[in-house]
Amino acid sequence: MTEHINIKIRLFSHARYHFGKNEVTIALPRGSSIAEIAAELRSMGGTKFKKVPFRIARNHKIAGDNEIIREGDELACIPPVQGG
Amino acid sequence: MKVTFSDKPIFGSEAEYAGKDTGAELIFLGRVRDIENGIPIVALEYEYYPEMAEKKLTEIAHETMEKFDIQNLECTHRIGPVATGEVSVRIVILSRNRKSALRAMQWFIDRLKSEVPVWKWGIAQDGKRFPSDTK
Repeated sequence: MTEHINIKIRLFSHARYHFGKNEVTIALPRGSSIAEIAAELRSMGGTKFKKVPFRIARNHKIAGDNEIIREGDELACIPPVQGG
Repeated sequence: MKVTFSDKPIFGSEAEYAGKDTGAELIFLGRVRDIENGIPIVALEYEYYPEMAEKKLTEIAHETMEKFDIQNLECTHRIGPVATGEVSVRIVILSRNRKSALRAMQWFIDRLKSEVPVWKWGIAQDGKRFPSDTK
């Protein structure tokens, strides 16, 4: 049986708005990639969230699609930024 | 428009470093406009991802110092609600000559706006909050 790990993802801006909360927890098979968790997050969001572009940050850096998620990683959903 | 000649001192910022060899002090103040995404607002609320934003902004400031011939750079970005007309970001750059300061300022602001995880929420006149679509 595939072992799953629970991954928390912090949400900001449009992601926080559409999910209505500051973070979500997703259970994924151990060894899942950033692309897989992004796809899962996308499928969990509502219709309007599907149009929101975002990247995933892993431990405070924008992550590549093929990076493997480790237990204890801090993940965040980063919609287009708007500082200034 | 207003232009003046004066025999009184003109004061700059209170930036930490301004030596006798400093020829340019460039101050940029970003202010909150009263319209966001076409909607009249009373304020913007700035949200950020603290750990990542502080790391990224520091990294960009270091890169700017290395890339351009400038002497100092200071940046303060507001977080939380900022009323229309108030300053949301303040950047000060000191350099020996103006060209370096102007180029560095443009580069630093462009990087800040495109890479630092800060987001804006509009607060409409009826109090409703909405995430901004402005990039």
